[in-house]
Amino acid sequence: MSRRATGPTTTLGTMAAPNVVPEDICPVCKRNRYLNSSMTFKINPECYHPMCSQCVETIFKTGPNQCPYASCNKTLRLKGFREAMFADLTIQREVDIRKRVAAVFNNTQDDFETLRDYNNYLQDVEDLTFSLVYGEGTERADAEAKLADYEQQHRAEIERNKKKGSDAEALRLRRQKEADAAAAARRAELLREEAEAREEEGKLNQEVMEALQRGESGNAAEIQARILAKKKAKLAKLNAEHFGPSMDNAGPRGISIRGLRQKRTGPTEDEEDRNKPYDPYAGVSLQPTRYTVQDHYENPFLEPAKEREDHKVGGYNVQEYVARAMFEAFAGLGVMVGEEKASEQRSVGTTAARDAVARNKTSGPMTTGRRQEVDDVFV
Amino acid sequence: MRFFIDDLPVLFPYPRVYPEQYAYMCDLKKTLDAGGHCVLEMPSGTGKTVSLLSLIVAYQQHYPEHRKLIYCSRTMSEIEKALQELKALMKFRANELGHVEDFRGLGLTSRKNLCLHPSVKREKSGAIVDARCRSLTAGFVKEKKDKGENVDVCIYHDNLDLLEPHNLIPNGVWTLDGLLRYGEQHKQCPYFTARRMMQYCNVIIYSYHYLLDPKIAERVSKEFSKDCIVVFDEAHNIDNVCIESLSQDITEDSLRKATRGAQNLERKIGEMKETDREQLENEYQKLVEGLRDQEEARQEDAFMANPVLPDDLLKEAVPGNIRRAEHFVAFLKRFIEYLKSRMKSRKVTSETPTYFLDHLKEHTFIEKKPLRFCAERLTSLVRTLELTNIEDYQTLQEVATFATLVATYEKGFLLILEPFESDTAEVPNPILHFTCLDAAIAIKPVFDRFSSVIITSGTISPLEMYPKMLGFNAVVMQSYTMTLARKSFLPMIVTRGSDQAPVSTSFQVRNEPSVVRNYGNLLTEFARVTPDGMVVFFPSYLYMESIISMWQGMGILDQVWKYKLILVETPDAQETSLALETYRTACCNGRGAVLLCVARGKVSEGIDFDHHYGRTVLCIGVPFQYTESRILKARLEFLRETYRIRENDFLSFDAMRHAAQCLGRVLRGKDDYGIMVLADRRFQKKRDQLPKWIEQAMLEVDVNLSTDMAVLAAKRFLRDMAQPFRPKDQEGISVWSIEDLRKHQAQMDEERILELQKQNEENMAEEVRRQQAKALALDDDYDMDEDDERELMEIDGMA
Ligand code: SF4
Ligand SMILES: [Zn+2]
Ligand SMILES: [Zn+2]
Repeated sequence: MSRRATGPTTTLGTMAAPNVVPEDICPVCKRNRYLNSSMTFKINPECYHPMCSQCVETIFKTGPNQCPYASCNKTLRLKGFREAMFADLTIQREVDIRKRVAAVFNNTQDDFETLRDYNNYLQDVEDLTFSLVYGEGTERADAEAKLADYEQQHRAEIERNKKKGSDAEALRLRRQKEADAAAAARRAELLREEAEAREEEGKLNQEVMEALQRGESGNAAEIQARILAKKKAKLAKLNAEHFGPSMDNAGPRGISIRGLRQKRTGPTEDEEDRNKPYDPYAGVSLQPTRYTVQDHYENPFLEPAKEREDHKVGGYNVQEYVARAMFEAFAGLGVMVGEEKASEQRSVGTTAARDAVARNKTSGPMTTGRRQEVDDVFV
Repeated sequence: MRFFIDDLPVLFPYPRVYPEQYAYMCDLKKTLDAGGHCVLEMPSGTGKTVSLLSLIVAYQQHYPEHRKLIYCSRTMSEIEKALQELKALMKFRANELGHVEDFRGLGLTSRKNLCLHPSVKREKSGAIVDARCRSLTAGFVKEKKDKGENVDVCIYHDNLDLLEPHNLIPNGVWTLDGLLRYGEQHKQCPYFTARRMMQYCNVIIYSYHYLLDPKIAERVSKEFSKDCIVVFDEAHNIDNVCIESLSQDITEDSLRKATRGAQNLERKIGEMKETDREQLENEYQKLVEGLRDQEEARQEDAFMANPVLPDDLLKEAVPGNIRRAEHFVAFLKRFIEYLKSRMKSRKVTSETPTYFLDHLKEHTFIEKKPLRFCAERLTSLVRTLELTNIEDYQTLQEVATFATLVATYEKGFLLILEPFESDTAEVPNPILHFTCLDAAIAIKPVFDRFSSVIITSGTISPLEMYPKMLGFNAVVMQSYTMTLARKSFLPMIVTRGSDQAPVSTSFQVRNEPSVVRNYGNLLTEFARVTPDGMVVFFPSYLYMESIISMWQGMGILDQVWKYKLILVETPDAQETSLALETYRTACCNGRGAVLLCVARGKVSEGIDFDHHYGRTVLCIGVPFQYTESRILKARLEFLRETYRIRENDFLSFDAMRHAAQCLGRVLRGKDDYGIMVLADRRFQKKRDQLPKWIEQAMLEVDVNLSTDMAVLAAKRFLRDMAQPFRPKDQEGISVWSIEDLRKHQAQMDEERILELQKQNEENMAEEVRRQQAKALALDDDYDMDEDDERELMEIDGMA
C-alpha cells in the first residue's frame, strides 16, 4: 500500500478532491454509462484506483500488470479486484484497514476491570487506526509494526476472544431465528383464526338464507333472530379471545404481549412442571414479600443466645426465632377485610371495577349508554 | 356560579352550566383524587376547555399541594383560546373571592411566534429563527461579549439577566399576545421569559411537542414534578403525534448536506488546533472523566437537542473511540458514507434496528455504543468549537439524532428504504424511513412521570382503543352525551342514490359513473336545501381531484353553482386560507358556499364551521388511510403482533375517528344546529364506532337512506329549526342554573342514601337469616345432615 498512490486524499483536514468512484465515465477508457448501462466499477485494495470492469478484464486477464493510472506504479492482479461498497474510496480504504485492526484488537468490555480502562483501550486502538489510515511515512510504518507486534504477542488471547465472539454471535443468531419463527407462527395462527371466523360467518349467513328459502316453521324473522343470537355469541367469544387477555393482565406496564411471548417461546407450563422436582406447596412461594429477614439484628436480648455455649440447644436456631418473630409481626398485613366484603357484595373483583360501579351510580342520568362497555374494560 | 363537588368549591365563570359539564367535572375530580389517568369524550361545543380549567384551578387553589397544570393543545390558536378562557376564569374568581389570587399562567410556543428581535423575527422558517436565535444567545457568545469582543447579541435576551430570575413577569395570566406586548414594553424576550418562568407557573399551556417529542421534552419539560396534572386536549390523534416525534426520514440530499457539515467540522477542528488547542484539550479531558457538565448540557440554549437517552447512559463517559474530536468526525463520515451506500440499493427493504446495527458493524466496524452517544457528542463538539452559523449543521444533527435513535431503540421501530417515490417512478429518489411503530414509546415517560394524565377530546371513540395503543391504565373512561332541549343536529347515513344503486368509495366502485353521478346528485340536492354554508369531505386529495373533474364533465358542478359558490381545499396552506376567507364572506353575505375538502387535511382538524358557516357537513366515503403505504403496513403488523389489534379494526377505527372529526366541525355549541350526512354504504356497519353523542342522536330510520329520502328528512329538520327557539326552553334540561344543579345534587345524594339504605337492609336481612339458621341449627341439631352443616360452617367462617 503505497502512500503516494492514495496521495490526494490522505491528509485529514485538507480539502483535497476525494477519491471517489466515478458516476458515469471510466477514468481509464473513458467509456460512458449512457452507452453501457450495466457498467460497474472495480477497485484493487493495493491502490484503490477505480476503473470499469471491462478495463479490468482487458488489462489484467493475461496476468499481473501495472495499474493504468499514470501516477501509480503498483502491480495489480485480477484476483484482487472487487466492487467497492462505499462511493468514497478513502472510506473504503479506511474500512479495509479497520477490518485488519479489528481482527487483532478484539477485546470486549468484559475483558477490562473498569469502564475507563476499556475506554482508554478503545482510544489507543483508534489512535493506531488513525496512524494507519492517515499517517505519513514513518508514522504509518511504526503503526504497522505495532500492529504486527501486538498480534505476535497476544496470539492466544486473540484466538480466544475470537472464539468467544463467534460463539456469542452464533447464540444471538439462534435466538433471533427462534424469535422470528415464533413470530411467524403467531402470525399464521392469527390469520387462520380470522379465516375461520370469516368462514363461520359465511356459514351462518348461508343458514339464514336457506332457512328463509325453505320458509321453515314459524316466520322468517324468528329464524333470523335465532341465528343472529348464535352469531353474536360466536362473535363475543371471538372478541373475548382477542381482547380479553390484553385487558385482563394490563398491569401497570399495560402491554400484554410480554407475558404472551414468553409463553410461546418457552416450554409450556405443563412441560415445565414435569421437569421440576415435586413441590408439595404447588408453587406457592413461601418467601416473605413484605420484608426480608436480615442475617443480623441488633438486639441485646438475642446476643447471649448466639454467643454463649450454654444457651445452645439442639435444634434451636436464632435465625429461626427471628424469622418466626418477623412472620408474626407481619401476619395479616395486606388482608383487607372491608375490601373483600365489598367485592363479595357487588360480585365484582377489582377495586377499579368498584370505582367504576360507584361512578356510574353518582354520575347521574346523562352518563348512560356506554356504561356497559366501560365496565367491561375493568372486569 | 359557585357550587360544590364533594368538598371542593368550584367557581364557574358562567351563570349557567350544562349537565354534561357538571358530569365532566365530577369525573375529572375523581381522576385527580384517585391519582390516575383518564380518557374523557366530551361532545364538541359544550365548553370542554372552560369546565376543565375551572375544575382544575379550583382543585389547585383548594388543596394544599397546589398541583401544577400542564395543558397541551395542538395548534397555536387553540393555545391562545385556552389562555383567554383561563384569563377570564381568573378574573371571575378574583371578583367572586374579592381578592386576586397568587397565580401565574403562561403559554409557550415556538420562537418564531414569540421572537421580538427585529431581524430574526422576519425569517420565514421556524428552524432558521431557532438557529439564528441560538447563535445570538449561546453561552459563549455572552462570554465573548463580556471579554469585550465584538459579537452580535440579542438585547431582548440579555435584558432578562438583569431581572430577578424567578420573577421575570408579574403574576397573572398572560396570553401569547399579552406576553408579546409585555415583552415589547419591557424589552425582554417573551420566548425566554416563558421558558424560564415555566417552573414558577401554576398553569402552563403549550403544544404537545414540548412534552412528547423527547428531543424537546428533555430540555423544556424536565423540571416538572411528579404531581403535575397533565392534560392532552383534542387528543384523538395523539398516537400519531407520538409516532411522528420519534420517526425520521433521511434522503440523499440530507446526506449530502451532512457530509458538507462534517467537512466543515473537520476544517474547524483543524483551525482550532492551530489557534486554540487548549479548548479542545479541555473538552477531551472532560469527556475522559465522564464529567458531563449537567448544567451545561441542560442549558436552555444548548445548541442541539438530544433524543432520549436512558439516565444511566447519560451519566456514563463517552466511549473512548469518539473522545477525540477528529476521531469523532471520522466516525460520523464513515456512518454517513455507509448510509449513502445503502441508499444506492434499488430494492425496497425493511429491516429492524437490530439487523441494521449488525449490518453496519459488519461493514464499517461501528459499534452500537458509540453510535448511541452520537448526538450527545456532536452537541459537545459544536459547543467547544463555538460554532454560530448553526444552520449549516442542522442536517448533520439530524443524522446524529438518527444514529442515536437507531442505537437506542430495538423494539417498536423499523427501517424502511424506499428507492422510488411511487411504484411507477423511473428516477430514483431514495428515502430511508426510520419509523416508530409503537405510540406507547414516546408517551411512556409522560405516563411514568406524572400521576394524573387526562386525555380528552370531542371525538375519541372507541375509548378503549387509546389505553390499549398507548399502554396505560385508565381509572376513568367516560363518554358524555349532549343534553339538548331540541334535537339540534341530524346525523344520517345515505347508502343509496335516488336510483337505489348503492354508493361507496370502496376501491372497486369509486370511479364508476353511476356512483360518481349519485354522489353528484347528493351534493346538488343538499346544496339546494342547505342555507348558507356547506362542507364536503372526501377521503383523499387524489379522489377529490378525480371526482371533481368527473363532475365537471357531467355538468354537476354547474348545477351546484346555481345555489352555491364552490371552493376547494388544496395542500397549499396559503391557497386554502384564501379559499376559507372567501367561503366565509360568501356565507355571510347570503350567496352561500360549499367547501370541498379532505377528511385528513388541515380544514378537518382545526377549523370550526359554527352557525351559518356550516349547516350541512357531507362526508363522502369512509376516510380510510392509504393502505398501500409500507409504513402503515408495518404499523398494522406491529399492532397486531404486540397489542392484538386487528388490521381491520385499526383501519376502521382510524377512519371513523377522522369521520367523526369532520362531523363535529359543524356543531360548535348548543344553540348551533346542523345536518351531518355520512354517504357510504359501509358506514352502516360502522355506526357504533361513532362518538356516543352522535350515535345516540342517530335514529334507526336514518341509517339507511337514499338520497331523496335524506333530502326530505333534511328539509323537515330545517323547518323545525326555523321555529322560534327561546333560550328559556333549554333551562333545566340542557342548561342548569344553580338551582337546577342543587336539585340534581340533592337527587344524587338521595339516590346514594337510598342505595346505602338498601344495602344496609340487605345486610340486616342477611344477618337475620343467619341468626335464624343458627337457631334452627341449634334446635334440631341432630336432624341435620352433613351438607347443611358444612354450609353453616362456611357462613360462620365468613362472618
Ligand atoms: S432571544 Fe428572543 S428576541 Fe432574541 S432572537 Fe431569540 S427569540 Fe428573538
Ligand atoms: Zn474502463
Ligand atoms: Zn493505482
